[in-house]
Amino acid sequence: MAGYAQTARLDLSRLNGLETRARDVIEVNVEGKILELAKRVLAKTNEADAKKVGQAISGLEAIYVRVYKFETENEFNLADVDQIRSQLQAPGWERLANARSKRNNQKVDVYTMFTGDIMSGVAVVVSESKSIAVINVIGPIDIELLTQLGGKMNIPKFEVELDKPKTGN
Amino acid sequence: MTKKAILTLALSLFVLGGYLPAEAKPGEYSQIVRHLKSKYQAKKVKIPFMFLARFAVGIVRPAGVKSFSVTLFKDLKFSYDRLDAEMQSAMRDSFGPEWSPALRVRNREGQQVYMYMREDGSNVRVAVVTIDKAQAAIIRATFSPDRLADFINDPKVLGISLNDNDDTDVDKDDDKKPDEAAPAKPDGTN
Repeated sequence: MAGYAQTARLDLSRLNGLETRARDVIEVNVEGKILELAKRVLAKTNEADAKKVGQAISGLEAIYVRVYKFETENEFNLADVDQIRSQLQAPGWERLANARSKRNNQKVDVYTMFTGDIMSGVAVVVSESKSIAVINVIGPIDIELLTQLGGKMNIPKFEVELDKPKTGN
Repeated sequence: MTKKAILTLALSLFVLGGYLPAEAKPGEYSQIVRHLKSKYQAKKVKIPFMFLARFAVGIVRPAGVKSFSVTLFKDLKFSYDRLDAEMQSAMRDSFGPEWSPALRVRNREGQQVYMYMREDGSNVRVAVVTIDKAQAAIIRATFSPDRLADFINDPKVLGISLNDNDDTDVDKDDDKKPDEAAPAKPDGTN
């Protein structure tokens, strides 16, 4: 388990420089015992969907979220975000999706890390002209199970094409 | 002083001694209260019947909550630019390494939220500090995650179900006429 933490964990302290310039800051850290307790509660509930979420995150080690919103456009230095993006060039990370839009100068990058066949980390970096968001999920996640839960329990609906099992012919 | 009085006094001191050190030690909660009072000249707002609410929660333990407390403050005087850094530092100093900073939200308009959590045996302790302009609230609670899961499965307070469509409430069915009762299953069971 510690292996996931070593490889998929991003050094988010590089974003600290944005703190003073940002108008709004949101920082979420769900890790260690707190995550274990959340899993315990989810595992114990009788509700099928909650149980599925519990299953999907049963191996998770940590979730970190950083959001910075700015008063005016381009108040932050893109190099701060690029430092995070550059960490995602390390071996193991694979770019799953990348979107660029001229509207709001939006850039969205989704990276995943696999250890064998298991997804061991996810990183999402979103930068716009007036905001930056970084999400780092560490540990194995059952994406198929989460996809099934899309639209329920505040989990956004994913449009993920899953491999269909091959038929005999 | 008679022997009986001395014995009573000694016993009282012994019993109190077991509780006093834990109560007298300034915990993270009191440290934050002190910080708000001294640093920002915050004035405590009295919440009527708070002691009753705390007593009731201690007895009923709804949703696994074993204890809680809320302290409100008003008239905080601070500099928007320094508030977050000062609060972060105060929170770090007050909450030991056994606490995890789970959430921090701040904006330049003077709204701040800090949430710390820790495991305490089979329980979880949560402390939330919110500051909204000149007002602040410190909330702390201890709850049992297992009891919380039980509550999610079967929401009940003092044996009264909070489920809208709970048909396990025997008393309700007892008042119904036979034709209003749940229809019998095809196999004859009910």
